[in-house]
Amino acid sequence: MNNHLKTWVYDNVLYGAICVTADADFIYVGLGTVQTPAIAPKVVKIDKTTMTTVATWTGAAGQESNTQEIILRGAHLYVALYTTPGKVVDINKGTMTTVATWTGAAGVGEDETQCMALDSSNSFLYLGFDNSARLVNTPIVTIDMDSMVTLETFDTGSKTSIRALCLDSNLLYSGDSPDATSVLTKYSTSPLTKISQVTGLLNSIVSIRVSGNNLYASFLGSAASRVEKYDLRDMTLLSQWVKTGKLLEDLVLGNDGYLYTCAYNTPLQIYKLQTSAMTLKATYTGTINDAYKMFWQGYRLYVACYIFPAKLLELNLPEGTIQSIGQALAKQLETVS
Amino acid sequence: MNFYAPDELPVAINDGFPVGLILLGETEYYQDFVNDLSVIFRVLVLVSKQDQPSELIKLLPFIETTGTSSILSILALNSDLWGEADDSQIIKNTGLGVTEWGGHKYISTEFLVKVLA
Repeated sequence: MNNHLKTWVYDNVLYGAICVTADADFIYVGLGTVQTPAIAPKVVKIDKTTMTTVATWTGAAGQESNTQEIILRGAHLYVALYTTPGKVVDINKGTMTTVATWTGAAGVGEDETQCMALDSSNSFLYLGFDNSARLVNTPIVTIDMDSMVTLETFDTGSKTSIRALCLDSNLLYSGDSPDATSVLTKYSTSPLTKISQVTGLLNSIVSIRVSGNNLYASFLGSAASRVEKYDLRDMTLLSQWVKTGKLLEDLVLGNDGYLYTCAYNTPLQIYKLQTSAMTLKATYTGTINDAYKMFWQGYRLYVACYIFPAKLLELNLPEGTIQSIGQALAKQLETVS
Repeated sequence: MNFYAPDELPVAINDGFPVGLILLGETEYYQDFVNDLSVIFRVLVLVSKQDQPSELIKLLPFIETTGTSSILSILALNSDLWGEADDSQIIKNTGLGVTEWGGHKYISTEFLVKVLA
């Protein structure tokens, strides 16, 4: 039963959907393009009820390129751009206009280039970078969300690509790939201090989520795409779920207790995993392609698809108990006159 | 109109007619991406005690497909039950009959509601 599935399609074939977030009434989708030279990045605001575009933020053409990550805080959207140097734009979600822009250090070995990973506390944004030139070490930068100024630039000590950051209370976890392998690192914050590290992990870490005492990481690689579960306390590998032949991208924890990961494949697939045993609970196979990022809200899963034109799926994933469904049924029928 | 959920069914019904009782029917468990359960709820509408057969006509508006008393149309207005379910629908009305509850027999009708969750 997928009768509550909705699909939003962008009206410009040059853009694909890269990242997504939502508030009570609207969905915000960051768009990107493979056009050369780069055309302006966009963030579209979509009415949840009608699944239609109601407003669009447009960045500068030329130097600016894809949106990469998007975070919502209050009246603000924070959008990381895959630019050289890296940028984060503070957007007023009501007017969809730029409030402020943070720009990474330029010309110094291009270390703060191509912002790929973003996570936030209530006040701070943590940025990771692709650093494709690899001329100098890749930093993790902390910026103040109100003033949009740099608070800290932490040298990871590695010429690497950081694709995943996840903040959990006062600990930050990063996934980076200096070569064909990945490194999972645990930091304390304020200031950033490296606590422990797991190295030599096959393939790239693309997403990290934390829940309770466990960390979950998705790894992108057609031969061994997988989701691994670690014990946060000592960073030991507890179990893994492997999906051979698929390109796993984002990972989200649903409020139903399941873990969801998506495949950037034709057609797209979304996998629902039991977190306890890391076993597959169910698979959703779409009719379109290339699931890239997801956002969970209530009983809705929003899936940004990096295809052209951009598409967004809304999946309904209810998890009511028999008792709560019975109560809801009684409540609804009480409106009978 | 008062409907009692499966976890709050009364011991006896003395007044407040018409009244609704929701009983659990069959539950099927299976693995699907969006549905873990298929639950049948038996929705009973009771209008009065059995010794008042003229009351049968009061059940007809509940069985209609339209109107403010139509169980079918009221459920269709909120078939996902505030996100508790993926979908729900009336699949059958079993006609007019008698239901025994708390030692008494009542004129009633029963709807089968299938809920996917």
